Amino acid sequence: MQLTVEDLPNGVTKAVLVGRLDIDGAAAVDMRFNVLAGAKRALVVDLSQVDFIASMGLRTLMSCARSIASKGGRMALAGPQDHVLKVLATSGVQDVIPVRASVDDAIAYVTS
Amino acid sequence: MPTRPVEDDLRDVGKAVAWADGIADAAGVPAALRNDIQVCIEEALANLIMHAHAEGPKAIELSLDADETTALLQISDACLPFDVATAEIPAPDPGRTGGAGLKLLRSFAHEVRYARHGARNTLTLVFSTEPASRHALDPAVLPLVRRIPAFAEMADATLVDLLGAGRLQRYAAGEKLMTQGEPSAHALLLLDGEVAVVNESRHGSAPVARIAAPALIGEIGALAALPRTASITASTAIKALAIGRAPLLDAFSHAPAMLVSVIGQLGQQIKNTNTALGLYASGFAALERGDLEAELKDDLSNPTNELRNFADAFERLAKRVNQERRTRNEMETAALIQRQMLPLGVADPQGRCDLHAEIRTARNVGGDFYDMIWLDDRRLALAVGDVCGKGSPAALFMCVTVTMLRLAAREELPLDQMLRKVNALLYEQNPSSLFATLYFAVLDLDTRTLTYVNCGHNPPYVLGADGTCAPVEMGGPPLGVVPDKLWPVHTLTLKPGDGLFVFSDGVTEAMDAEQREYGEARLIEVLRAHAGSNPEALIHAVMADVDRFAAGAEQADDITCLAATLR
Repeated sequence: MQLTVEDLPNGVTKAVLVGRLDIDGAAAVDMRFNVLAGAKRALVVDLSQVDFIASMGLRTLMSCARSIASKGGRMALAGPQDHVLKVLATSGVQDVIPVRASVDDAIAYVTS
Repeated sequence: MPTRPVEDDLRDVGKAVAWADGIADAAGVPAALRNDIQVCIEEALANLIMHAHAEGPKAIELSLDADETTALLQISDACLPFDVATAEIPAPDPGRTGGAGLKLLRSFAHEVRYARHGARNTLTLVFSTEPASRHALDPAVLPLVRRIPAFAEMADATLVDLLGAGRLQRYAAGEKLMTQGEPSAHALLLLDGEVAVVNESRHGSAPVARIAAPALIGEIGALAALPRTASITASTAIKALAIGRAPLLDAFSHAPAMLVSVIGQLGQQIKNTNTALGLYASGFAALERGDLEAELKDDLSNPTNELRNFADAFERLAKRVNQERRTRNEMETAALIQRQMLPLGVADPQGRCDLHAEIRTARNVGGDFYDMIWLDDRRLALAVGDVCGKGSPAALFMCVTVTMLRLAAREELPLDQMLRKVNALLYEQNPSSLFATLYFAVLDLDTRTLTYVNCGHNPPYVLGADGTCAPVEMGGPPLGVVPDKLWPVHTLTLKPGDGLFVFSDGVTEAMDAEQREYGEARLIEVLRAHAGSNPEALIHAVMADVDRFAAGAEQADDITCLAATLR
């Protein structure tokens, strides 16, 4: 599991996840997501290269989203593959963290 | 079914998921299904590792069996019972960061079943690429199903409709397909695999039949809306169609032949039941002959659910009858050995004394023995003993003791040395730690001297011609208890008309129905009352008095008497 963080204009931060956001993957990025959650107010997480997600990975995303929301910030997920989207939809995470088809759509959401 | 233990450690989950995915990939399971399987494995294992409680090790095991269209996943563990299939899913809560696992699991798996076996939970998840009914209509299924008599003559259209109404289900070996006593809502059409029909009762489970695919099971219950009469357990992996009552009734209305076939099957079951009842009756007769416990007889005479309990009741019964028979044979053999060891009668050809001995063995062979041996033409060895314990070991120990005494008695050793030797031999060759009490006396008929040793035996009585009755000394431990021992030797000089009465504690400890003991006082009274009687009459008087006292109560111990009277 790789995490690349890039600061974009307008105070938006893009986090790109690559690999499996399973138990091991979540454990690998949990700490850095906590840091992001504490420091950023507009976060886009690019999931297009995430091959797998289950509830431990969802927890990482949910925990981050909650922190950002508590500061009045916004977070969105971008471009999940179909089977990852199925998990997001079934678990109800999609209802809490908006999911957009592309990174651009997600940026548009968090800056609106 | 490939199985892998999973450590109680989140770090092992990824490896377990990869292991299962390797199997799914090799079996050709499509990628979308593989993702669902991985999600469910992670959810189930993470839940067990993080939240489940266990009294000992969780002992988690993961099994997966898959083909191109279906995967059957099982996760078993030794945690406290938790039914994943019916547990309440927490309401969606934006504040929560977890809790989605159960929902994911139940949404992604096409079938979720939970079972508790002993101390283990088993979660079975079935994943399938195809809707159940489409699979059933696979043309290859029709010829298979037609091998079932009920469907042999059914019109294609009716059969296709019936199968189309079914729902394809898969079970792993060991899973329960139907549970005895539960309402019947559907029949199962076995397409692949073998099941066991199991009768369940308060005595346990007894398999009564095996049924292999293709077969229709549970249809009578489903049609008649009766509770299941037996449980059905998968012996192998099972593929079956669950068909509800409505489509079954519909098929019946179109196919009277199916009705005839079901009636035929009912007839067969009635025949089986009659056979079972016949066996039950014979078994019961055997039980009566075997004189078994009243409680068991009662249980069998007034069965609450005789047919349900038949299989195990009969098995239990047969076991008991055979066990009883074996025990009885063993007892009879032991009693025979014992009786053949003991002398029937000894008489003094020179008429210096009268002798008599009798033994009455208890129902369970005891260890009493007596012996009367001529050492030469004037010295007579008399012995009465009691081996502790009952049954064959005690009887055999008795034989060894008697044999050693006979051999040692002829060695012309002093009495104390002789018994020291016998004791040492019995002590050495005594793996069961048995021991024997013994009163051993040598009566010199010319000098009328009685020389004796008492090894822990209840003291005999010396009977005076004048009606006195005095016990002789106790003397030390029984034979076979200590490795080396010299017992004190006592000598008495008797007069003509004096006698000796030696007996086992079975006499004085004989019980009446109220568990009162016969006791020494009653014995002394009889011995005095019969002073001067010959030994045979004396012994008969004692035994008759004991019988009067016991008044028919069964005795636990052998009763042995030996008497000698000088003329």
